[in-house]
Amino acid sequence: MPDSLTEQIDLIRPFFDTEFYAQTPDLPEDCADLIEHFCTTGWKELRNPSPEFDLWWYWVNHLDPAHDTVNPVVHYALTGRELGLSTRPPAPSTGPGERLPDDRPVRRACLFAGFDADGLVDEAALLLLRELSRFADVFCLFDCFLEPEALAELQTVCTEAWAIRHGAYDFGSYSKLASELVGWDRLAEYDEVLLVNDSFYLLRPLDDVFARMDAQACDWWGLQATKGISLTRDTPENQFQTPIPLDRVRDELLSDFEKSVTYDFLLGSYFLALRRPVLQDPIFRKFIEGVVQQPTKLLIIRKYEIGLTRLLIGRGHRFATFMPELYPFHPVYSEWAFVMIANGFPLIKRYLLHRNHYDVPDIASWREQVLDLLPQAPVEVFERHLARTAPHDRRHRGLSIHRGTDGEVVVPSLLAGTEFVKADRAVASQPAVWVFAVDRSTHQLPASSRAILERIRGDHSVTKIVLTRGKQFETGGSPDLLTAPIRSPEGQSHLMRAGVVLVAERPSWTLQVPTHLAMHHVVAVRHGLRLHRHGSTAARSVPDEPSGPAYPARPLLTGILTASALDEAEALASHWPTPRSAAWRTGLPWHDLLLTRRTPDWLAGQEERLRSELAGRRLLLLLPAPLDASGHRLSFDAAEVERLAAWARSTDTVIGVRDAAGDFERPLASTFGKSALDLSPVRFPDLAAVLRAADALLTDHDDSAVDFTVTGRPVIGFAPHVADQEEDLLYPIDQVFPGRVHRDFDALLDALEHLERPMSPSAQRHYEQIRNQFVEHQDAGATDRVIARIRALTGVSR
Amino acid sequence: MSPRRERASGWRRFVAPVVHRRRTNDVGHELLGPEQFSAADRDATKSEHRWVFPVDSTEHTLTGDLRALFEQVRNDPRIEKIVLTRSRHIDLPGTNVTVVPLMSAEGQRRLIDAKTVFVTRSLSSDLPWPISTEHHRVIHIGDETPAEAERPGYTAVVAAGRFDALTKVADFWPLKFDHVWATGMPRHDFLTCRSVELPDDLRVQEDELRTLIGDRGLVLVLVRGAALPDPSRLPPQDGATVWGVRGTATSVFSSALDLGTRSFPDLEVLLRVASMLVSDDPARLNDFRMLGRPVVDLTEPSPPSDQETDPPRLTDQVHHGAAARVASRVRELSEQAQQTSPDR
Repeated sequence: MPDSLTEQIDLIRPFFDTEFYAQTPDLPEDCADLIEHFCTTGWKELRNPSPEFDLWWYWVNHLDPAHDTVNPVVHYALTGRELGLSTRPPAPSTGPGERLPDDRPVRRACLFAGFDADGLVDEAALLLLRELSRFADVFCLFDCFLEPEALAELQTVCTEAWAIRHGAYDFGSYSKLASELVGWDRLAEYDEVLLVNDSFYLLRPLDDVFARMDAQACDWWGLQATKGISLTRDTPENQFQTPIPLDRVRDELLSDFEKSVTYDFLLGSYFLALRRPVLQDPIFRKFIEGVVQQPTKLLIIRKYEIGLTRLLIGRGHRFATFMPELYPFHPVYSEWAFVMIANGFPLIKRYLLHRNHYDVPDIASWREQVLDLLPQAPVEVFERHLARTAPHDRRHRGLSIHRGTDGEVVVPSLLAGTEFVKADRAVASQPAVWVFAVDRSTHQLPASSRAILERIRGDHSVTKIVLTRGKQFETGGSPDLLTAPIRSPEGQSHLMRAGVVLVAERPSWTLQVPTHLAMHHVVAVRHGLRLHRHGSTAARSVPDEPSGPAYPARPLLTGILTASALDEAEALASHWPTPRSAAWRTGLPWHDLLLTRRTPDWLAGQEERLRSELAGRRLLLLLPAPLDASGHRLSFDAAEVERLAAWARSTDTVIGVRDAAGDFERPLASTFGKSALDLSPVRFPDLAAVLRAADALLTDHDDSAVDFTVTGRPVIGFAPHVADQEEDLLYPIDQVFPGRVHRDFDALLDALEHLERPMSPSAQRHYEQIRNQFVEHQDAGATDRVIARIRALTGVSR
Repeated sequence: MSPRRERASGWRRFVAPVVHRRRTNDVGHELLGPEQFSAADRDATKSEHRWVFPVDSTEHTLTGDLRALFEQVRNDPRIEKIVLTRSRHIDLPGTNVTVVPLMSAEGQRRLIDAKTVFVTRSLSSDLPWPISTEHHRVIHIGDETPAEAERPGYTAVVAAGRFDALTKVADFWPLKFDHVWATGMPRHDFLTCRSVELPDDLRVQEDELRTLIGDRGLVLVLVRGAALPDPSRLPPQDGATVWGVRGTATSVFSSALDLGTRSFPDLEVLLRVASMLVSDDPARLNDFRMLGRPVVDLTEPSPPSDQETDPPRLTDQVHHGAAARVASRVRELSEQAQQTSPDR
């Protein structure tokens, strides 16, 4: 392959149609040289270089679809042209289609792709799986960790079931099932193989679907077809307003679709059926086996969802759909969804109900609309699933879209950037309105914010507003405690009148609008003490340019809470450009949660539940640091798990594992299985409750190691690869870690054997030195000091 | 070439105070006024390989960090070293070294043409001319924090280690963390190296000091401000211990050795020899803590009576080779600049 860009451009030039390429959607505005854009990024985004060259077609048919190391056009110029390789699908033409046997029951398999962020198998998914298992042997793969009980239940419903995190979404599961877990040989025994995912709720039995489709001659079929995606929504060919019979689509329109700059016809890949001609097609198998993680959702759609349709049509496989017509633009996400349901469509997409990204009005009444058509539909099951899994803020937006009295669709709109600043300036901020913004990553209030909020919950002189994201916040009926999503007009309105805004770390990241200190007092409460570089101390592959004479340094924070001189230095360095005058050496309210003898009411439920599960036994908490660039993380092999479990049994200790929030692999919970108690955030959202109950902490180098020192309880380090991770740490780890950091497992186990004994005097001195340097106040008074400081700032007294 | 060693007190030859006189080759050249200097500075092409070492603005010596850095590159022919002197005569031979008075036309010219300028306190304190941080690479190597108005614009600030780096980000606000080099302070090389590795004049000072104290342990009283230590809290002067005083405490410790800058210009020599440090200077206290030796910290409240020295605290540790690391970082910047701007 030619290395230099110039060489590549020279090779590609004969096959590059500048005028055509300029029509590909969403080209950057500053894209001066189109052919260079194609050679550097365009081909990886599947932008075709000319009407005569379909990248993905060439890629799948003649190259390895799993790798993006070779630009298909360069390959064609160097090799493919001479070999006469096809550069685009032939004109659509199909045979008569495969007929299923009518002299025996149809042998059918279903490859089912599931996912659940909480590691559960929802009743909604079970309903679907039970229905599918009436018609097929169901082989199910969840792309995430599943609780052992959930996986066991799944295995009772399905022929076989697995939970393996691969991160390649539904097509990744189809791929893994077909090529590894079930295998092509086994699938060859079936007349038909279904590919089904869990992106929808099943509204009615599937008998009609299979009855109708079994009678059709086709090589593959889906429930419905779609013409157009978000990217191509405005193209003239996608503006049709009435359904088009599928026969006409197949016989007349397919060749027109081929002329699109961006091909956008597909059969919904949430439910596809493939018959023998497809299953035995080597290019189809290569396509499925070549599914890998993609950098964007758009590429998943274009390569796999649309890509599969186009490949199969191009390979001459006749298709059919259960819905006999092609409905206008993306019907499963538009008002047409309800029309299709009325016409026998068996499902409704989850995304329509919780995201409503095409702004369907009055989706808030979806249950009533469905029940009008299908009185038996188990909508309550679906509503419970939505309540558990749907992002609260997005759902709030989707449900608020309605048709106004004039018939226009009313969509909530948000102010961005300077628009917000302008509006903000026009609203007088009120010192007694305090906004508590949830963290953008966890969607929870930072523990320090929660401690402050709960302390002033009964103080009616202050209006408290919690700005939420994906999770709802229960106000408990307090009249002066309000909530609204950050990304909502109400949330923005609350923000404008706020005298005080409490955020975890970076206000612009949290609030997604600029907040000026002239209008609001913005206070960063922080997540806690830090051992790792983050924010403006984060390790960068390319450091910032040398500083130069002057750079803008408008402080973004009125105050930042700190626990000591050392912590203050870190906080200021990591929150550039915060000056020293903004550092509030109040202590961190979240430490109060660990120091107070009586558990705050809002934490008590979690702590009591955990203590009840411990049943009087001691708890060793395993808490891994977040995965860093080195790729190393706290892990144990099976033999080590067994030795740890044996130690725990012999010392009447429970090992509790808490995988990081958002880690769908849950590696510690998976490795330890029943040898440990699962203390992940899904089960115990607040770390404070878990740390309060922990008798000792074992971690590689999680930041919480230093926070935990306020309890005075032991901290043990286990980080065999810490030398590779030094770059991500703020300090030499052995110097600031409150216990010894063990590099090998035997030493760790030896340390655990001595855990019951008091620390040696030198270990105790070291521990206290770390604690005292990181935390100056150990009096559980930080919350009160912060509130006093804010009151002094705003003049709001109780 | 190294300084001549003649006798025990021969080091004085190198730092003997002299009244500055304009050099003969400056005759006919007038000093530029501030505006002329700025204009000339703006127009001049900078030499990427010219490094400027101004002497200390108070003591007029080249000691500590800048001296250690200078020693690191002293015989590197690729780097042109310009030492800008004040009232004291400085004799620092080496390869491609120019010693020139700061207050001279030639000094101005050399400064204007140099890309890299090191300062230990602040630009305005160390150099009396309006140096533009837009045109020069200004690197702070010291422990004094400039006034807020003077902080923006440093290319880099050198720190003793990771702890010091975090502190310096706030001290030099609005400097970014990326611009603080946790290389270690070059002067620490003088604290950790073997005697034979010291420059000759420092080694001569050390020999003289050791001769002065004999077998006794040295309690170094280094006080800059008004917080005088209570002599009764220090180990008594006897056959095993001797007090040595530098700074403002000489009147209280009249029986102590006078270790002032006239006799011992290089403080690192005193720190190498001392077994205990009594001080109100946070940077020197930190140096001493980094060596793992006891200190009496006059900036802190008195420790409990059963504890003679301050409690252990988290500090950076000394890793020899700081001067080499700093020099390497400066060279990297030069190389990057040349790659992006080949004409300069």
